[in-house]
Amino acid sequence: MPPSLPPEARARLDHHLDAVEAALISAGHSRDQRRAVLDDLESQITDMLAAHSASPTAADVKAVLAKVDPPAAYATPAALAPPQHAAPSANPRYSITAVWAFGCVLGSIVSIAMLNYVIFGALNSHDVGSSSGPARVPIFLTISQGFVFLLYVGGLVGTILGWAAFIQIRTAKGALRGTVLALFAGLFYPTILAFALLIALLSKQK
Amino acid sequence: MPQPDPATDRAWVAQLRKGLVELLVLAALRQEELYGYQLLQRLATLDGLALTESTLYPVLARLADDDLVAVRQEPSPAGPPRRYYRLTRPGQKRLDEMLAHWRQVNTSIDRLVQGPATRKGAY
Repeated sequence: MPPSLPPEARARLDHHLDAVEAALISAGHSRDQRRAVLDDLESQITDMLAAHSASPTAADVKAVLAKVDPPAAYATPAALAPPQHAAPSANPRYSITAVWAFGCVLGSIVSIAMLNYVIFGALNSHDVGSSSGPARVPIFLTISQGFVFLLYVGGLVGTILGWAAFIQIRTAKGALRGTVLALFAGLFYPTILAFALLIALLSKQK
Repeated sequence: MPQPDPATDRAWVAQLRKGLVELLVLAALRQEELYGYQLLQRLATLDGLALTESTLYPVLARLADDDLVAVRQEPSPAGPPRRYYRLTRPGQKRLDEMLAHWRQVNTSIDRLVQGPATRKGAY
């Protein structure tokens, strides 16, 4: 159990802590921050008192308080605290999510091209009527399925990552870049889908 | 010739130190958990890094608010419970960023002080 101070000594210490709290209030510190600062300060003063005397008196408290910062000193640090919203970084880095999103969508676009190449290759081998043509169909099918998988997964993952990256870049307040990559990834397939739906609707009306 | 005012002369040192408080605190907590007064004493042992409590404690409170340091309370034999501070993972990350920036600034100042002739010779 920590030793308690005599009433006069306690009053002197409380007076100092109250003055420090008033300075912290004037500097705009929150209640939690004030409580934390006062706890740290009181702990420091009692440590100093314990080192000063085994049974501290009001005079000991006065002597110790003369060694610590005056309450007015607590009014200044808040002004030195950095602003809540930091200024945009002079050298923002690329959002890794945006780069991945772009890569996924690009990969799925490449897989469309490869899929076309494989399908046309399969059709051409049928056209020429060579003996190896029908035997190669399962291979073409397997390869095609691989590209279809890449197309769907890459497209879906890329679109989701694209929107995640866009939100990340917006909330980073200038610390991240790559908005164009993120928007491309986030909008590419939704735009194609929207066009496809529009064409389907128009053709139905005809 | 006018003599430099010692008070003004020291003011820039205090200003520079105040700008570095966050870096100093995070760096001091890198190795071990410390309570406020202990941290103050630790910094006072290093030349040019001494801080006063009115500078340190509000910064510690703000770092705790920002989750850069974690706080644990422990009873003290001398008085009210002590608040022990330790670095969190985001605090470690912030410290790494600050140290990288600090080294960059340090290198740039060295180059600036050395001047173009020395710099040319260095390459």
